[in-house]
Amino acid sequence: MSAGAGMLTFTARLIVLPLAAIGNESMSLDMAAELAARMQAELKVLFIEDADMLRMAASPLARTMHLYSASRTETDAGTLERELKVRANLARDQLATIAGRRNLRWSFDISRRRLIEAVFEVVAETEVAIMSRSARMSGPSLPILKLMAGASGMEELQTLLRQIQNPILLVR
Amino acid sequence: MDKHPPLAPDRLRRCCDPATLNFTTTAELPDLDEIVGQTRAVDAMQFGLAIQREGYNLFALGPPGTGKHMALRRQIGSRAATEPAPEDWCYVNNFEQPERPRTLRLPTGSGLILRRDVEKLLDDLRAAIPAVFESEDYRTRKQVIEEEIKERQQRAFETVRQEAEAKSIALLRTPTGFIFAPLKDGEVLSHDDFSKLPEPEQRAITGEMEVMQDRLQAVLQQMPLWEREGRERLRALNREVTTYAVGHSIEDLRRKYAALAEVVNYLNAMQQDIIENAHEFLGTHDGPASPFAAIATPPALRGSPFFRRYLVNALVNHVEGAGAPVIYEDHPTFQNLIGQLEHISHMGALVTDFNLIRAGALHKANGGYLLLDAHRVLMQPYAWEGLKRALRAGEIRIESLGQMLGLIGTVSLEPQVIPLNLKVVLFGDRMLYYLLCQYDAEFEQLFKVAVDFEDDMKRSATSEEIYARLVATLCRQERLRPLDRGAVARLIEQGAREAGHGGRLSTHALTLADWLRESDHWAACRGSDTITLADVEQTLAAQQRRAGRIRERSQESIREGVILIDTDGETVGQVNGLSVITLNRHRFGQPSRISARVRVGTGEFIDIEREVELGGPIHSKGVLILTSLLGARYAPDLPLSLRASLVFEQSYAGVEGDSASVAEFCALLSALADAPVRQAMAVTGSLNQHGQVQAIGGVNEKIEGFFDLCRLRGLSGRQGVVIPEANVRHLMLRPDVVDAVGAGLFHVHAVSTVDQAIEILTGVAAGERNAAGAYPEGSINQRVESRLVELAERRAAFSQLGDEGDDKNE
Repeated sequence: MSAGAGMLTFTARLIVLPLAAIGNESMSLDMAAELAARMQAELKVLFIEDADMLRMAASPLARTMHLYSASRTETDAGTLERELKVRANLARDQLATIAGRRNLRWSFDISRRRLIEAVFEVVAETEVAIMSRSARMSGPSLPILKLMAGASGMEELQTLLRQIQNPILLVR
Repeated sequence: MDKHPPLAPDRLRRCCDPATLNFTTTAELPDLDEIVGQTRAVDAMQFGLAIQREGYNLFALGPPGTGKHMALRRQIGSRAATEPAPEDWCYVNNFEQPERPRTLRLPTGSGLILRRDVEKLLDDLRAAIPAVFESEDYRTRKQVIEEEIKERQQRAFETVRQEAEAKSIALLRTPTGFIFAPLKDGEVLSHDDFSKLPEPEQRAITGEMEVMQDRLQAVLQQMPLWEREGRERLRALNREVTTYAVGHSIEDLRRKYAALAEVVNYLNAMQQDIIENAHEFLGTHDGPASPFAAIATPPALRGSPFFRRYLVNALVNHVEGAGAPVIYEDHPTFQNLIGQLEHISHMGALVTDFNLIRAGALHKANGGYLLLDAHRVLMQPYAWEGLKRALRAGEIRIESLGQMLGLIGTVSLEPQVIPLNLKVVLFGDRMLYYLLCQYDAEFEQLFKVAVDFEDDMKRSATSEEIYARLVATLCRQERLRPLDRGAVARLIEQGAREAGHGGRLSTHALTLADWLRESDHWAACRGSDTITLADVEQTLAAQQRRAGRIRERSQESIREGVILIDTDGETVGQVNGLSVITLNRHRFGQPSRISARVRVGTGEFIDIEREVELGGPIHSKGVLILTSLLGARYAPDLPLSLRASLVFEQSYAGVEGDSASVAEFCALLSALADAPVRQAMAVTGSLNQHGQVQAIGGVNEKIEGFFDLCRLRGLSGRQGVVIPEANVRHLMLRPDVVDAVGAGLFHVHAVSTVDQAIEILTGVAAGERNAAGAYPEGSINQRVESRLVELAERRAAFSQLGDEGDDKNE
């Protein structure tokens, strides 16, 4: 039986969406849920508390510049942790709402590790991984990995992409 | 020869000879195209309708049933048919001030067309605008703008990132912004490692950090400006494509209504508003349910409350060639007259818009005629004030009662006023008209033309013919059987009886129509194709019977001796008076025993009815007049030395009117003269101070009331009634009364003086003063005067005794 227009030609049991809390999670959640619903797959959201970011924040030399005020403050690791916790809770609530509306099976995990490693692991081990680009709300869309990882990260990513067989959905 | 011969039968009823009617049945008669017996009203009507000046509205006054409505409707209808239909009026949104909806005045019949045109336009736009926005061209151009802005931002960030990277400074996104931190060998420089660096290097790193923060800050500050620029360019693009989509569709309408500047201006404003709100035409609306969902909405607009702002509320619509509107408002509430703003309850609040403006009767009749029942207008709260205000101002201002009274100040709509130009015709009875004249200072300024309808018309051969045609017209209107000549003649006679005058005919068309309907019913019961005299007689008899319960009970009481009325024999100081009882529209006569007693006194007249507050002021006036007459007429040089009392025996309700004053005076004369009064006679009439007998009302009913009683007891040939001479022209007695008179079984005497009345009642000459100033011996007047002299002497004697007693006491 051939698939009609707009129908997916592959299926999956589990779809994983890694979230880094540095962009617009709502859109990513919506799209992942839509995909999971169409595939009748379980949606797993992996909220990553980036260890690189926390380590940087712990440095007394680190400085923070706020996005919507362009003001600068000394970085405080405790504040950053609280921000991550708040974002994780928001994402979980949002996932519960969206999944409930679509009658999806879902799970939500929090993992504190290097973002690049976490993403690599998800991509390697999951049937379908959704990679969302980070975005300033209604602003520029910069690849998370590119911004975060620097040149060495990109090399690692490129290596991984060459190795893995599973499909990766890149979402802008 | 009888000194006071009774009236001949032909004077008791002015009959209509069927032979004088020139038709066999009314089917032969043409319809009546004139208003019967209302020349004054017709003239006033024509004047009032023709004059086109402020305040010349009409008030049609007269009793109900005289054909006021029919006459005015016919007159106005024929006039309105020749006049042009007025223009249409619409309410549309005021895009600059939505709380003040604007009016559009449109040529006759165009209101609904414009509404349909606008609905179709919106329907088109709901397809055309999304189509433009979904086109590849638009999406590409939009994408280009967005990409351009994004690229600009990306370039700026990338520049900062690369510069930071080159300076070994890490730049990382956080949930709320960015973090800068110095790197060493790809790892974040710890505090200890930093401390170990030479001071110049530390300062250099710190300085670089500052520089990079400045750079990023500059980029972040620039971003809102780029975004705003992007939005502006997107808006401009939207405007451009919407203008294209809207302009094309709306241009057709602009061309169609090019001659109507108001409409063109409205279309321009609507186009501008659509362009500004193009996003409303895209996609579905998932917002809260529309509060207007319950309102009938054109299919193109269902589910889209936003689009109501573009609808046209075709408030008043006319049809070309249909003539000026003639509106009769049966329920003239304030809102039904002035129009109203309807509201819809939504989430506990009342909401409205210009589409919920509803026309009132003034809107509908504007440019034509509005017919209202004055009593109903006055009964509705503030309707009269609202009507006057609109007429005074010459405009219709729609507002709620709360607003008009200044009771509420909530924000609502203030629809633009509509100029008012119409004729208002009020219908009402005379009392209402004169009360309004008396108590409403504005009334006469606003209703300058009184159309006064007559209750009756002069009876002549011509008017009888017109009456017959009126009968024929009503029969055709009501689809009744035609009447033969005998039936019409009987109705003419009954019309005179209804008018209470042998020489006049009632113009009460409603009553006539009832007689015809009921006669038709009886004719149908007989299976006849024509209404005959018998059917009319049956109708009148049945009406009498239906309404006759109280009359019959009253007669029964008299017959059984519960109420004491003699119809035979003679009694001193006792006279049968005659009164009329009115129950709704049914009247009947009833005899009353009036008695008088006298004794020596000091000139006191005791009107017992007045003493117990059962007598009305007119009755009291009559008693005072007869008191004056007695004092002036008899022994004028002596003090009036009697104490007389007058009473309506067995009267337990109020007594009003002076029609019993002749009877009361006769009772008094009888008592003074000790002259028995014939109880077979009854008398009615009012008296003046010179002893003249004046006309009274209800003469026919009074005579018939006494006749019925006498007949019940058996007509003796001695029974009869004394009435004022002035009332003879009013006589339209029942045929059975006339027949009894013709057979000599009953008599009707007409008198012009009280002397004539007392002579008939007592059979004794009243007597006139001779040259010496004395009344003939034995006459009533002589006996009365003698008795008064005697009473005066007795009083004087008593006074003398009293004085002597006083002297002795002294």
